[in-house]
Parts: sequence; structure tokens; C-alpha cells
Amino acid sequence: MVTSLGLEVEENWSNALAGISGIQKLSYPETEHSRIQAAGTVKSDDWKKLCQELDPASNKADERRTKFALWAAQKAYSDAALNSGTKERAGVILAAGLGINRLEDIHHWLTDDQKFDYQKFINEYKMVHPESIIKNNSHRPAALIADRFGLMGYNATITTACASATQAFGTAYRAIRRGDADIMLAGGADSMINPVGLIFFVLLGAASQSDGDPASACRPFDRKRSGLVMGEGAGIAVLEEEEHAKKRGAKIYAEVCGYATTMDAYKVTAPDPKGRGAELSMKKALDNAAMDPENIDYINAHGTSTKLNDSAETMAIKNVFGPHAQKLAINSSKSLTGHLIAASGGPEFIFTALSVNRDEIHPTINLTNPDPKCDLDYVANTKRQKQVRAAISNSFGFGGQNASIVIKKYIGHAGA
Amino acid sequence: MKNKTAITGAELITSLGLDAESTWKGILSGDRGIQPYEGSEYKVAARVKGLDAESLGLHPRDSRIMDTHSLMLMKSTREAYSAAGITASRIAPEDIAYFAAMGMVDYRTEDLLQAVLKSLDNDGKLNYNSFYKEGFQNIHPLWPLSMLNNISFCQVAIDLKIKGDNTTFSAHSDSGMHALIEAACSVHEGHSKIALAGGVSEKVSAMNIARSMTFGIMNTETDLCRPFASDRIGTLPGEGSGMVVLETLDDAEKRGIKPLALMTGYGLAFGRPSEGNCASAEAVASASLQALKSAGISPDEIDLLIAHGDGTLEGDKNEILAINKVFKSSLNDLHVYSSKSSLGHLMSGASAVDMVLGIYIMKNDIIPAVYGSYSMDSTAGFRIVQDAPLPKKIRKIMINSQSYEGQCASIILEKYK
Repeated sequence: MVTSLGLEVEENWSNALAGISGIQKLSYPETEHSRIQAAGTVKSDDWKKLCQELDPASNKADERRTKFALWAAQKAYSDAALNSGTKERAGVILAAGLGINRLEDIHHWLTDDQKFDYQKFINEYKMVHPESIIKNNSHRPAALIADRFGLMGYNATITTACASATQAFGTAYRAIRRGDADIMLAGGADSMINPVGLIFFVLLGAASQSDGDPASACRPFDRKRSGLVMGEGAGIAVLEEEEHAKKRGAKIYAEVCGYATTMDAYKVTAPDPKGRGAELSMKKALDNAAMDPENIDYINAHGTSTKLNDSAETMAIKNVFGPHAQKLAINSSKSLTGHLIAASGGPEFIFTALSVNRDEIHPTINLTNPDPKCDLDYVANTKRQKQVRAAISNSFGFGGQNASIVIKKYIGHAGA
Repeated sequence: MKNKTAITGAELITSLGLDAESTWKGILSGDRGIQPYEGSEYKVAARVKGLDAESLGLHPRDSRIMDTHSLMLMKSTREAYSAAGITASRIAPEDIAYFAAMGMVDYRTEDLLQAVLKSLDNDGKLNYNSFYKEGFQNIHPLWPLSMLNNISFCQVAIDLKIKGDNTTFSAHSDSGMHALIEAACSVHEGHSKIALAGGVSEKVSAMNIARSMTFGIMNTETDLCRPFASDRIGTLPGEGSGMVVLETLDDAEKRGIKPLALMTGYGLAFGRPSEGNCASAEAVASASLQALKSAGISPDEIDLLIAHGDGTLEGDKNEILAINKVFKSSLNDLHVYSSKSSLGHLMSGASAVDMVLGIYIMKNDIIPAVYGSYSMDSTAGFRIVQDAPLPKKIRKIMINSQSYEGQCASIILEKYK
């Protein structure tokens, strides 16, 4: 994985446990007047290293989010110790976001009377920046990964805004369960730290416009939270059919055991304030896992640091878990990495799996003024050591699509 | 697939009509949705006409962020929903699944134009400092939502109160197959009781045409898309949407609904040649063979293949190789159809549209003609209907779909007895 916290899973994990924020002052060119001044940008030294160490074929891919995807895939593939060579029963399901849109594409083809000249644009299509029209294609990262590693099976791309990556893991999990594949690389990559991205959430009124200390701009569940802070990067994990993994002696971090997705059918401009879609998503995921709420010890929340999400998500958790909600450890990885938008469920899935594997939970940082409406245990500011038998990772997308995935300790199965 | 999936509702919107009936009639009469547009940014395209927010009864508050693709998705989903009698069966909103394929969303330049103009220096250069300071405020605050393809999808969910299992796949023809396959699996695996599934094309726009031209797949010279013809030179863009309703055969029978057809198998694969923007012949063949295996049938049982057949040089070449290989023993008897000569290339909308056409083909036992493919590629060992529609008993159909990046899928349809 790659986020503003680092280039490797272990680097991300140790920084997350230490509560180190990846969010810094925005360093994108010509942004001194940008309303957004804090972002979880992948550090420039890390970006240089990524470009140097990416295999040459992948490095030609250009486009920032595609390189994040290829990097994360390369790392996940080698961590899983998968051998090279083509694999018929292996595939890729990735989350993708908007891609880059460039104002130059309009500006360059203005007529003298300041209209956009469509005909000239099409005639001169070769002059359009390739990242605007071809390299931003949503399913390109999934295709490049499959091509690079010879994964000749199911290959799909999901675009459900912030729910995308968790839906990608869930869809991959289902594909393996039903026998369509033995191995699936799943997750997401995204970057919206670009001109259209920088005004996107400002227009929607969802972005934090805090100009104070960048590291404290993202404050999920805090009374003084002021909106989401963008991050960027990728998180990709290898899901594998149990017997297949055991046969080749693979290291198993944890077991995915349930998944569900629902829709609010409420408003496209705001989540259901009562969190009913989120509640249903967690309930159905528990059903799918054949688990009781009491089996869950930890929730990696969607926790965007927006007024609406954090209170609705809290309400949903209380409705699903009843009295057990007080015993849950809940955190928001976004407090550390910022919001990776379509990819956000990627690193969060990995953090959740590591917590299940290692019985350690990273803190939600900047939680110093608890919101009375958010009155659960959010692992404020300091990491927690706690037995995590099973956990849920939540992702809720703009428009009202909700996804929850359940991960439990891998102990093997009797007779298996 | 261990269990058969019943298709209990189907609807289409294409350049030949705003419903499946008129599209079917148009195809049989040899009408072509692909038309030249003089003086427009699109020289030739199969555009959907006569669809507007008002006729769909949409509130301006909602339609403000809806473009052609949103309207097509809204209408086709509503019609399929109603055709399947979901309301009468009182299925709970959380038991209704919705899976759709959506293409790339290209901004309407007019939505951003003022912001660009207000962000220019005195010498006419784009100044990002002015853009971030004030220029961007000339963009409508809800514009960002119009850029997310899942927002159109969520608007439909709100309209029909669908709260169940869901995903939005993207961006080429293969994504339509993913939506259909995941929806079928959703009902069989018990994630939902009934599923709406399909796809919608992108709106034909300058951006979307530039993208296809960059891929090198467009026919920029004539107004004919000629699948599998020796003189094919590229594909042509089309607009449209296809939506079906899927449930288990048991559930459909329990509801007393006679299925329009059955979906009995699928296959998924990936592979691209070292050169060219298309799927490899191996990958196309692999998806087809997996689909046959999953349906438990042999190649010679397929009466018709609805091919991807987009009229591109390399794409068709590889699909021909794959068909020749998969159907080796029955190749001389195999009929192949492609809807793209009539409807254009609907990308994310293509697979669901082909599925609905497949239903009509089986219902009427007629294979439509492929307009413009008069001189067949000499490497193709199969037959296509070239002049008038051909009556033929059709019991089993395979549908193929490929992306320009290498994703492939095949689905098997069977007649319901």
C-alpha cells in the first residue's frame, strides 16, 4: 500500500500505531488561494522512490493513481509470495475514482468569442493531454495490473465513490467463495489532489477549509471537526481461497468472512442522518458472516470527519450492536491518512486485517473534544492493545451506497 | 451456474426507440440508429432522441445534475422494474438488488466554461490562483455530483426505493457483463430476492469521441460500422441503455411470473495482445469456454452467438479467431450477430442491450441482419445474416463482450420452456 504515511505496509502500520499524521500543508502548484490547505499527499521523496523502484514497464503507465495502483499491486504480489507466470484462475477487482480532468482541455479550445470549439477539439484530439482522455479511464489500472502479473481471470472495476474499494474486496470475496477464482487482487487507488479535485468537495461543502495546523485538520468524531481532508494512494490485498493458500504454504494474515452492501435511497446530497443504510449494511454483513454482534471487537469506521457522517455512523453502530457498542474499539484511519476517496477502503481493509492479526488498534488522532453525539470508544489519540477476534471495515459512498466487510482471526477449519 | 436465473423483466432505450419493442421493430426493418449529424461535434453517431427530464416527471432539483446517461438509466430501470411486477409482489426494498454498468462521465464544457473564463489573466492565460480564489465559484455547487457515475445510479435507487445489494461497474462493455453476472449471483447466493441489472452508455460527446479516437477504434471516414466485414475500418459511437430483472427460477415460478428467458452460464477472462487496444483471442475464447462449461452445454448447442463485433480491425480479428476455435466442430452452422451495425457501440450499455435483444430473438425465432457487413472477412468460418432477417429456431444464445483494455466476458441465454 501507499499513503501519506509511507510506501510500505509496515511503515504505514508503525506510523499509524504511533498516531503520526500524514496530512501536511498542501504543496500542489499555484494553490496559495485554495480553500483546501491541508492534504494527505504522498510525500515527494516517497513518490520519487516509487517512480524509481516501480518496474520499468509499470513506470511507463504515467498518471499518478495508476502508478499508486501498480506499486501497491507489486508489493502485495510479492508479500503473498506468488510466483510469476500466467494464472487462469486469478483476477483483479479494483476501485477507481474520477480520474483527472484538466481545465486546459477547455481553455485551449476557446474561440475568439469565448466559446468552446467542439469541432476543433475533436480535430485536434491528439493534442489533448493523454491523462485527460485515455489514461484516466477507470478500468485501466485493473487491466495494467492483470497484464503485468498474468492474471487471466475475472477483471472488473467498481466506481461507487467512497464505497468503491470495500465493494471491490467484497466482490472479490464473493467470486472466490463461489469458485470463480482462487486468487483475487482487490483494493483501490485514487488521487484527487489536482485542480478539479481541490474544488470538488469545497463546492459540495464537505471539505475541511481549516487553515490551522494541517496535522490536526482531520478530526473524526471530534466536536470541532470541519469536514473531510483529502488523501491519496492505494491499498491492495491478495485474497485467496483457503485450500489454495494452505496448499502453497502461504502466510495468512486473516480471514474475510462476511460482506454486504446496501443503499440509503435517501438523498444524493447527504447520508441518511439516522444512518439506516449503514446500519443495514453492518447487519447484513454480520448475517453473511453468520456472526453475532458480540463476536466483533473492532470497527474501522468510515469516519470521514464530516458533521453528518460521524454522528450517523455512530448511531448506526449503536443500533446494530446495542449494549455491545460500548465495548467496541472504533477508529478512523482517515484521521491519519486523509480520505483516499474511491480507494479509502483499501488501506482501511489492510489496517483492519493487521489489527485482527496482531491485536493492536491504531488511534483516531485529533480527538480532543468529543462530540456528545459521538459517544463510543474511538481509541482516541493512543493506540490500543486488545484482542481482536473479528472486525468490520465500513465504507459509505456519496450518493448513499454503503459497504461493510467482516474479517476474523484465521484459525483454520476442522477437517480442512 | 448450478441454478438457472430467470429473466422476468427487460427494457431498452436505443437510438431506434425509447423502448424494446420499437428498437426490435427498427432492427428487423433494417433501420439504422447511426446517423450523420451535420455541423455537430459528432459527425456520425447513434444518438437517443426524444428523452428529457420533463417527460420522465423529474424535479428540476434532481435533473440539474442529470445528463443523457442518467435519464436513460432512470427510464430503463423504471420500465424493467414495472414490467417484472415487483410492486405487486411486495418485495422489501432491502431485498431488491441493483447492479449497473456506467461509463466514464465527461463534463459538459458549458458547466465549467465560466469558471475557466473568470480564471484568466489579462493576457488570456489560465491562472490557477484566480481559479482557486474565485473562479471556481462560477461552477454550480452540485456540479461535482454530476461527475460521479454512481450518483445517477443512486438517483434511480432513490426514485424506486431500492435499498439492497448493489454495485456500479465501469467503464467498457465488459462492465455490463459484470453487472449482469454479479446480479445473477446475488439472487442465487441469497444476498437479494430480486435484482435489477444492466448498463447505460456514455453520452456521445466531444470528449468521449476524442477518447475513442485516441484508442484508435473509431471509423472516422464513413457512416457504416461493419462487424466482421473485410472492409471494416472501425466502430461508431452509440447511446442507449438496457436493463433486466433477474431472480432465481424458483422465485419467479413462486411469484407466478413466466420468465422471458433464462441466464444459465457465464465466463470471465482477461488478456491483451502485445499490440493494439483490444482483448486477445485467447481471452475471448477462454470466457466463451468457461461460459459453456458453467451452463453445462457443448458449443454445438449454441444456435446464435451475439458477438461483441464492434467493427474494429484488431478486435474483430481476435474475436473471429476465438469463435473459430471455440466452435470448431459446428462452425459452419453457427450464426453470429452483432447489434453494433444498427445501434453503434454502446460500451458500458452494450452487454445489457445485447441481452435484451437476445430475449427478443429467442421469443420471435428470428435472427436480424447485420447492416453493412456484405463482404465477410475471409478468416471467419461462421455465418452472419446479411440481407433480410432469417427465421430460425433459437434455443440457446451466447453473448460476448470485450473491453479495449483486455477484459472479456460471455453469458449463455436459454429459452424458457
